[in-house]
Amino acid sequence: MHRFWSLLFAAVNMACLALLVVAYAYPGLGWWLPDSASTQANEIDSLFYLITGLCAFFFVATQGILIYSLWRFPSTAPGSPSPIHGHPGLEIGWTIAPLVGLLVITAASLPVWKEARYQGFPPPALEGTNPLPPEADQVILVTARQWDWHLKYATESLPAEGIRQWASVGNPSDLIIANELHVWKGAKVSLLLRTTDVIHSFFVPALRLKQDTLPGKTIPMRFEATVSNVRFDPAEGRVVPNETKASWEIACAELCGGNHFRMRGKLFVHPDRKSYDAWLDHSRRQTRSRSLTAMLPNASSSNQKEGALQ
Amino acid sequence: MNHDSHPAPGNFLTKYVFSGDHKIIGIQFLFSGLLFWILGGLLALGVRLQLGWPNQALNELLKWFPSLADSIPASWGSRISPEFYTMLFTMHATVMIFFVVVPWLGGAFGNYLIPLMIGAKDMAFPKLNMLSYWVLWPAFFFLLASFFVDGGAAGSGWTAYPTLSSATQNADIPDPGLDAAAKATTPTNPPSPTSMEPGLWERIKNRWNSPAAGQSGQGQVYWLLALIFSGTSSMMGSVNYITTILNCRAPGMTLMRMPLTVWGMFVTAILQSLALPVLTVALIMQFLDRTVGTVFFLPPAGLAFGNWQTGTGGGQPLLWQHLFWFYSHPAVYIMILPAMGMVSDVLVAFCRKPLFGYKPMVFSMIGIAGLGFIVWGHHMFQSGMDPRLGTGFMAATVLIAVPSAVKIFNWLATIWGSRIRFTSASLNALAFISMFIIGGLSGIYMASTPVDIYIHDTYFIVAHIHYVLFLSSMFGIYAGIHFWFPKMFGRTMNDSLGKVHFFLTFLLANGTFFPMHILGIRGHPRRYYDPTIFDWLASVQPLNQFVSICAILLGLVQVIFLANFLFSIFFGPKSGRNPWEANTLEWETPSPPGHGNFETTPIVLHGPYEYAVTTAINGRFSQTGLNRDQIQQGNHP
Repeated sequence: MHRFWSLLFAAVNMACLALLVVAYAYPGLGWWLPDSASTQANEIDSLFYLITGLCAFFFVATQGILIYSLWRFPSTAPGSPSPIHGHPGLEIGWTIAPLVGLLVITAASLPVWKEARYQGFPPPALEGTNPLPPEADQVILVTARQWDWHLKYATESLPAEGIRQWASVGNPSDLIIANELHVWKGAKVSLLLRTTDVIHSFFVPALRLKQDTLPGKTIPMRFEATVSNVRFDPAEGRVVPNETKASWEIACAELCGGNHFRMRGKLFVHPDRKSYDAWLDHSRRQTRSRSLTAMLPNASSSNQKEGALQ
Repeated sequence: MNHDSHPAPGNFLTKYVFSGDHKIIGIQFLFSGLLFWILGGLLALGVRLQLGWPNQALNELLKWFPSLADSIPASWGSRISPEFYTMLFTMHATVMIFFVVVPWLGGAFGNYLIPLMIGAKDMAFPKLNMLSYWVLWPAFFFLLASFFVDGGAAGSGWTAYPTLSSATQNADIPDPGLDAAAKATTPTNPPSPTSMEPGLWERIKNRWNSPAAGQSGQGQVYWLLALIFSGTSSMMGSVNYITTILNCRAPGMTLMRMPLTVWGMFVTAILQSLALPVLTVALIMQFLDRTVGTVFFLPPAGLAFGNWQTGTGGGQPLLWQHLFWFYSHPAVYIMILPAMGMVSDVLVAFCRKPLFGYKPMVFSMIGIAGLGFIVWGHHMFQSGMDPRLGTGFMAATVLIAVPSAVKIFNWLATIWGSRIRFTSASLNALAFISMFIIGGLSGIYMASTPVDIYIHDTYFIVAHIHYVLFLSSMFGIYAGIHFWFPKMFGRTMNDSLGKVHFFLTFLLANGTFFPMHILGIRGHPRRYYDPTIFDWLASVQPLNQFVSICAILLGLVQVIFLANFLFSIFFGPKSGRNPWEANTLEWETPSPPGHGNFETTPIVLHGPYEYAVTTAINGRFSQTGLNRDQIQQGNHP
């Protein structure tokens, strides 16, 4: 009977491990990481696999010792338990071993975190500095509200020092559309995230990008898409899927009320700037553009108040 | 401390209801926790019904229970409403954390075991101890009443992030009607009966209403009150535990001879007494924001909900997250450290071998508690906090994994070379260790800031917290209940039923929570009412259904435990003083111990884990050095 318990622990742990292996080995199931379509996504995935490797080693080692002990040392086994109270050498060893593994993970994480988040900080609302890295090809203001995303695309190039002004007031020619993020492959995209009501979180799984929007703040974020999934077809006057047939979604990852789950958007990565510009021109001519400030009567005054605080 | 001021109870009411005896108070915590455990479990099953069969669960349920049809609001149509769903998971977490696990570990086991294990007659402050339980009753009232207010119980998550939780209809817009009514109640202007007809209470409640979410109105106010009272209860307990452990130990019971259960409770009490005031302050701030229109969490420019705007603010929503996690991250350790201590004691008693590395075990607990104060920011990597802070919090978080790993290795070394008796108690303790390994390892993913960008607020987090809270803390609690049940009630629980319950729970809990890692790796966000509207999540819906089936069965299986527990209180076989042949002091008292616990003050000669001693008569030294027969007869020299 005592063997039974050892086998139960072995079976449960192996089933857990097997589920992970199956999910990884059969991408067709769709039980693993979704498509990865940005530079940041590739780096985060590598880190994910590094951690998984180290964890798998510790998991197999510790569960293995536990399961073997249950098998080998039941009360029915001959002999008596050993009266050992401890062993300083072992204690030092198993303090240092996990520490080394963890430091490796930290060291590998630091550059990725820096690359993903340090650009554009401190944010403009805090210190009034330029929120954008100088090389940004595209600036998009994302305004979240219950329960959709409003994206404002600048149609003319913006002077770096005018970004704050543009974010709060905007130009008449700007394109504002809901729930559609259009970029082109290789573009260095700067997002400015903000919200009018509660905290939301801008989550694009394919980009491995997630950032809360915080009432009262404008938070910069950046990414560079590495795979394109659509192109603009001038003949049809709309974007059409390209050969990858990939469909990438945007979700909200911070509880924002009853319809939290409905904040669904789409990511469209054009193959080049030409396709993107064609889409932008077309969309502007569709007169779907509305002024975001018209929807946000408080937006311009909010900027003055933030300024007054500094 | 002066125990003569704490006389033996005279009548039924002072003995079993308003008792100052730590053992009765502990059992009171145990039973009220049991009721909320059932409630919390049912709320979780509601969540799983919706996620397993989005939009169909209610129809299926009605097929089985047609009598429910009348009680379902017509506005829902044939489905659970999204607002009701957010209430379900909010209240599930609130109930399980603040009304089950914390009261069970701190209130029930802490109260019952601390004086017995350190050889004290009672707690240092018996009256304060009594108060710590009865202060929970207002919390029970507000929590249960919140289900029946307009808009329903709180629905902004157990984390209650502003501004979803704190925005009010009229932050600074004066309501002349209310002022008039308030004036009408002053003595100089006696109200006519008719002028009260619109209802002052109604108007006050309407003022609480939220533009952000229906349940963030009155339900949120009740939620805040419930948590303030439950926190007060924990605070009183903590102060008492610290004083008792420092001042009331039996002669010879040095700090380094205390069983690890007591160490766990001690470290937890210190953690709680330092961290809890911060949460209480935060709760009061949000309460003021909700009720009287302060703006602690309202940003300077205010908020716009559609065409409706709040007034100007001057606060900062991020402040809440800092204050909340400054308590609620240590709370994670408050919910695991006592269980770690209890598991160590249970494990050693059934391994018949000294605990490996007593001092490293104690120091790692202290290390976890100390580092626990500087890692709260790892809940906020994606919150909009300055990313440079995230780097620092990552370093601290990574370090806290080291003492946790040290504990795992010492438990494994304790089991190595032992002779394990497989009982319900020891199996649950072993499961704690095995599952804590999984919960600990999955935590490393979150510590790494870049990986957290992706898995933050996905089901990976849900999987992690349940591996730590359910599969670790709850298995620790099951082990503790099986182990100390004979001391509490003088009878033992049925071991076969206990093993059946363990076997099924172990399988089904893993079936419920392990696939959630896969959901999280896929990117499935948590707190989603209906994930199937997303294309990229369609592929994991079968897993969601599998999880739901396991969860429902897991809930059913707990009936075995409940039945075993209740049946054994009255009909279990009688146990002697020391059914497990354990060394610690509580086993030298009668089962259950009388008022004042010990017939004579115990004098402690040994550490708690002197097993496998070849020179001793029974192969072990009890802490007082008494042998088996002397203890069985209560024959203290």
